[in-house]
Amino acid sequence: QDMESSSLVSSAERQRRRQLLEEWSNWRQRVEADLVSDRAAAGQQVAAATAEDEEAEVVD
Amino acid sequence: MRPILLQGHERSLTQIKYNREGDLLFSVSKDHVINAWFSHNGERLGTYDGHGGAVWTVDVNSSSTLLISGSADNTAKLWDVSNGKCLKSWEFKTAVRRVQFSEGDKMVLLVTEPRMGFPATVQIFDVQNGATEAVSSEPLYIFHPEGPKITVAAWGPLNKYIVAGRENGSVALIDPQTGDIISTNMIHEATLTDLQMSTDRTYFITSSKDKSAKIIETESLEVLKTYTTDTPLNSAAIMPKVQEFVVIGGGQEAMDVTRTSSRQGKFECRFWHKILEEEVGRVRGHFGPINTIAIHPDGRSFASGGEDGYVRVHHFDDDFFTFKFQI
Repeated sequence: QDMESSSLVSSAERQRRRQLLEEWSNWRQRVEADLVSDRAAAGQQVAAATAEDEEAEVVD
Repeated sequence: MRPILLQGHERSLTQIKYNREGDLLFSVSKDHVINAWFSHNGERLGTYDGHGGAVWTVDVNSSSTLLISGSADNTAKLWDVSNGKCLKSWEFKTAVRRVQFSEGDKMVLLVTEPRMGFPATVQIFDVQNGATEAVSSEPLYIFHPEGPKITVAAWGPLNKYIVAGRENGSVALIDPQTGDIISTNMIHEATLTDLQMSTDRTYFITSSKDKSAKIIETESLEVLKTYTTDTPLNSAAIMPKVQEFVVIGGGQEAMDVTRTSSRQGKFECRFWHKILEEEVGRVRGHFGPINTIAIHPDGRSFASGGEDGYVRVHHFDDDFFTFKFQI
């Protein structure tokens, strides 16, 4: 495993890395929040469908 | 990092897959055999016998009760993981190139290849947790997607999409109810060889014969990251924990090598920092191209399957866990 030697990284490079990590983290926060609301919406759909099924059975 | 060598295949590996807990590793090969292994010590749990051709693809459901496989014998088979029994066999006109359980395990996705006048199909079957009487013989949906051949496919988040990768280097989002192509993006310059989802399916990684691997946002099909190498790639996987790495692998087939390479075909698994797009290390060992890579769900080990017929399971050393980029 050729891991990098630690001392020879310029400050410009460190700045670039910080920026990439920050962009990724911001994107993840946005996407994860979207997914939570999508899941909640899908969960409500499932719950509604189940409720309808139960009503149908009562009618039978 | 001494690898465990799994010796149970006589021909090249086509796909390997961990179960959700990571205690089991499933491998399929051109030798018609499906093997199940204990991932911590490499002992074989068993085999699933019945295919009469190369097995191209395999997947296991999240409770590790059902296994699905797709083969060049034009069948896909559903197996009971615990006893090796074949629960269902579906027959098609052509080979089955890719299979995957949906989120929630109620459905499976199958991709059949086009051949001799038969179009490629994407089919979805209801497997309802495998109770044999509930497994449908006919597909819930069958699509004949237009355009270049689909080589890889996977379910998107909440089963909202099927993501397909094609021979021309494009990816497409397909509506799993209508088969409509929602969007498409040309992301590679040559055929897609692998497509693996992140844990929550909001992004995925692709590998291509164009020597690069890419991270793509599922919803937008936008390219987020690119990892460019010097060899055609056959597989790419995202590390789910511990480090923000991806692992990619491939290599030039011996018959395709026109000049002697100093690195002997470059049969290495390459580790890249997922976010920084920098290569951080390589793992050698295979005697031929790497065809398939899977990462343990806890991120503490990984496995590779080669054209050489071996599966190599690597448990990471301590320095792997402490490694940090300077920022």
